[in-house]
Amino acid sequence: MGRRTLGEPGWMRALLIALTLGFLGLFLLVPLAAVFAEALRKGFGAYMASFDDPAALAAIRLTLTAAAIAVPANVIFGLAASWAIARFEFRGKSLLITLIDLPFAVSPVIAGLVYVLLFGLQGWCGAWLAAHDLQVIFAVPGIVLATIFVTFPFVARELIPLMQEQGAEEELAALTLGASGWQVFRRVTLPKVRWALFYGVILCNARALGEFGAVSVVSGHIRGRTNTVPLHIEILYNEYNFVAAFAVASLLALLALVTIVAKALVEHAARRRGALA
Amino acid sequence: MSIEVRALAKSYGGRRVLTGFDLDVPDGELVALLGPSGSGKTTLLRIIAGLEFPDAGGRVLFDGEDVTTHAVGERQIGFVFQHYALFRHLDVFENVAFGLRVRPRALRPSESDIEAKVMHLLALVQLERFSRHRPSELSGGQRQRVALARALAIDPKVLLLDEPFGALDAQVRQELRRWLRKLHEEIHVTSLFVTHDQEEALEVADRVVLLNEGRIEQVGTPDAVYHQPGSEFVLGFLGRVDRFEGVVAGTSGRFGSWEVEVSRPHSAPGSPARFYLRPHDWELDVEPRHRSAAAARVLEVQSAGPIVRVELELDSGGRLQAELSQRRLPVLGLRAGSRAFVWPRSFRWLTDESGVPRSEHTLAAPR
Repeated sequence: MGRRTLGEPGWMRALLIALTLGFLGLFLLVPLAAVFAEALRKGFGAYMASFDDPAALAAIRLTLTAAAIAVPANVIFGLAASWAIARFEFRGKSLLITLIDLPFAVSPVIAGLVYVLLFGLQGWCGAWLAAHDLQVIFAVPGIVLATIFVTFPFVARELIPLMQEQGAEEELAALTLGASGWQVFRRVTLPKVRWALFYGVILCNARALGEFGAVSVVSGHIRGRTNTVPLHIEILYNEYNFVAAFAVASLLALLALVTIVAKALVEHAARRRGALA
Repeated sequence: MSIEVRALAKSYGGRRVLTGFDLDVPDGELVALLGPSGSGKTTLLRIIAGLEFPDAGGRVLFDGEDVTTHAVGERQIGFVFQHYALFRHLDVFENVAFGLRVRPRALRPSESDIEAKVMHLLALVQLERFSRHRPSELSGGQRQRVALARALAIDPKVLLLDEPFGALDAQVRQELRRWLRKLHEEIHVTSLFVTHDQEEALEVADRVVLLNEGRIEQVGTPDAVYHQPGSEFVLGFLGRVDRFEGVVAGTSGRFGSWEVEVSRPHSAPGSPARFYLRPHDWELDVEPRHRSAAAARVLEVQSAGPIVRVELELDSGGRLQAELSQRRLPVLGLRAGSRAFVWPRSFRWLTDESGVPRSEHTLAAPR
């Protein structure tokens, strides 16, 4: 491997590396540094004071709640969908695979609007929900639904190709040895896909914490009640409260960094065990 | 445990894979299911295992008990997959222990019993040293032995092996074959294995079941199916055979330029017949030492191996393959382009009416 075997000149290699690094620096590292610089501009005390706001704490709590519901829901859906797609032949399978990718193709704002159309006061189910005193839109359920919608491809997309590649022979072998369906899942399937599953969960969690568009539409921006962290940042920014806005934003940025490190660790561990395709 | 199969048929979306047949496997036998790909042998094995289910009417009985509707886990069979299907996340020990660990609590052996049993099985397959290795660290032959130990851990009443040596290279295949034969003599569990390799079936099995296009062509000992093939398919499938069109009249037969005697006179004079000869059925010499020796030209001599194979083209047209011992080759001095004479020493023949090939030996004295 290397320059000589591939045959391109040294200056080309240097140029490509410089381009990549320059691009990364300009579009990723500089903004990231700016977030922290802005957040700490008025000192560490002002930075910490930004989190002393009940609205900020409520936003953090709501975001964590939404993620805590969306991620497990995603795991269940992802396992079910990938099992069905990898193990069975049925009509409409390719349609299902396409549909799983839909949230990637559709603008999150549209996803939010669809929920408003369905569950809003003027929506299809609005009257029924109002009659039963249930509120979805401009409330926590709507935020959770929107978060689930935008994140649901993550786990399934990690698992489907892996399960298809691994096949079902190990599961059949477990069955011949007398294992029950649950034992097959628990002792064979889950360990086989655990790294891919973990990887999908990390990505899904990152998206759940950071989702803006879809949540923005269904939230109603009620401070302290239906604001998630990204929405809270926007409000602070619009109020020219830059230090607080960037301080809260730095929290999300920090989470993103943790996610990247976790992802790298998972990839490393998976490669070492040869468990990820 | 004996296995009986009754009126077994299987179709996939209108395509018939098994055409409805009976089969009996006596207790303790090692039986080969032999056939070309697409003959239905693997489907038959999977139905016996309970991994697939027969079409309505077909039945599978273990020791006379109908298990057709039993799920695979209830049948207590040991199944060995072609590609091993070892649990990749577990080490060798845990792979073998799996079948014991998943038992309901009341039936589960104690930890020390599990350990004793697993180590005993690993000793049986000569892999004690590898108990803490992952499957990915083992060779193909070792993996297949782990798979076998894993299948044996549940004390199977029947051992089913799907092309067990199919993914291994030639030398390991040979070794494992002999080893499986030996193992079977030690543990004597009724065993069925699927193979498309006739040599493997003839070498390992007590009995061979020959399948073709979802039908059973013949069931018999390796000796019987080889020497008394029950159909033209079996004749053609078990090794190289050359076919000639000819006629029989009374007690004499004629094919190519050869005149032969047949033991059972054929009533209708001049009936068309087909003659089959294996490479070892031919007599080959540089002199025409027989009254009906046919002149031929040597096309190719394959002398690598214990037996020399000689490809010949007859002067009268047609090709055949004959065999020689290594000792005879230098005596005859044959090589590509040499002239030679060839005549049949033994052969099989059948007519359209008889259907079953008859074996014959030409007793006629040399000229």
